Amino acid sequence: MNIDILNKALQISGIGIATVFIFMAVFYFVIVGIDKFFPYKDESKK
Amino acid sequence: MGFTFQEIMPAIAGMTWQHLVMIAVGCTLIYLAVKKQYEPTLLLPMGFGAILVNFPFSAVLTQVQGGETVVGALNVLFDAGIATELFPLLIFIAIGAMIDFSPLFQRPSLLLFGAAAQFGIFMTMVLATFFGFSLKEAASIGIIGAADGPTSIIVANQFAKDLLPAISVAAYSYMALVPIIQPPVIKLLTSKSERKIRMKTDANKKVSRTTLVLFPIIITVMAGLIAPSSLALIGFLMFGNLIRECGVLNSLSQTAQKELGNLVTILLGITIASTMTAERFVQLDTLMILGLGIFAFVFDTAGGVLFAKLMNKFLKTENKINPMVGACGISAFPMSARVIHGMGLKEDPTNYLLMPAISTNVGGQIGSVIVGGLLLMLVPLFG
Repeated sequence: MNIDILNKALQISGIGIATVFIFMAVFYFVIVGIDKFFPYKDESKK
Repeated sequence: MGFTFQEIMPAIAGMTWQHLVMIAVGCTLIYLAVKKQYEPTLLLPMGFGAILVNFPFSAVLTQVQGGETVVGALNVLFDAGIATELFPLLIFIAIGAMIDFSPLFQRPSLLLFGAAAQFGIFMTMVLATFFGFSLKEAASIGIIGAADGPTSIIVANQFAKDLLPAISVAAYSYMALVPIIQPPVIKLLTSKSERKIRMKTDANKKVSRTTLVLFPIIITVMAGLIAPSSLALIGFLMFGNLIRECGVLNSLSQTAQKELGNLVTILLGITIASTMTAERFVQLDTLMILGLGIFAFVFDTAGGVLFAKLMNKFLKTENKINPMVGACGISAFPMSARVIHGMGLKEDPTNYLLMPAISTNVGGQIGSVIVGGLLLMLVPLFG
């Protein structure tokens, strides 16, 4: 086992998990935002 | 005129026990595909391909005969479709055209499980370094936990070409084994009362066409800005989805979902098998990769379940999340959602978890692609 590689793997894991959560949080706001700005309208009523 | 047996029957003379093991592996994959219907679209071509390439001097692989190189058909396909990553990316167009993202709009917070359930990927990467794998190999092994075949192929192809056959077999086989792998892990981590939690969802919520058209475009732009290395993966996925949702390319959408998906799947499976030669596959590393792959799936499931339990600490009673739904944050779509829905019905026949499970599973598809892109970006930075 190489401690240096293990350390790098741990660092990548930390950054990776944090970044994927940030991504998903951004996507969450994207979804909420576009859903709010472009709400569903029943086109059959037109 | 004396000919040796080796000259008359080179395949039989050159056959080793490793070749026979690989032919048996091929037959097993075909059995799993046909009899058990585990991911038959991929396991069957891979199984047959494994048989094809494990005869000494097989013409499907490049051979040197009398000083001349005779190029094998599977090597041509590999160079054209896997080495260039074309096949997995084309599969992403097909997958994108098949996904309906509208369930995500019913409860967007479930998207977070698409992040939590990627935990096993990173855990496995760390564990793989314990076993002496290099950083790039460890990342490629970890990505098996994404439960996303094309992403696994792309990452392994860039980081650990020698491990590609074992990683693709593990990724696709374990995707098929979700109904066997996930339930015991979920039961171990949840109480009966937690498994009975009913979830509030707006199943009748409708989403405007404008929203569904804008979604893939905005996600692509965001991904391009935050992690451009993920753009090939997420861009092709979203391109397929845009074709589906734009409403003016129905014929192309159908073609992407059916003909494109089917054609590339046939070629993808048999082409991956071109790397399943005895020399590369019958090694201790392969067994370790298969073991670590299960570990990745187990910890992905655990990550999703435990994150749901953590969220429940902060949520009001009426908004609580059934922790089983957290396990759907992996990419195996819709298999994982179906498994969780089934488990929910077993606990309480009137508790329908299908919609939140589908929403979470869609989030898992996005999450796995993002993690694939992140690994492609981060690992080279750390050398």
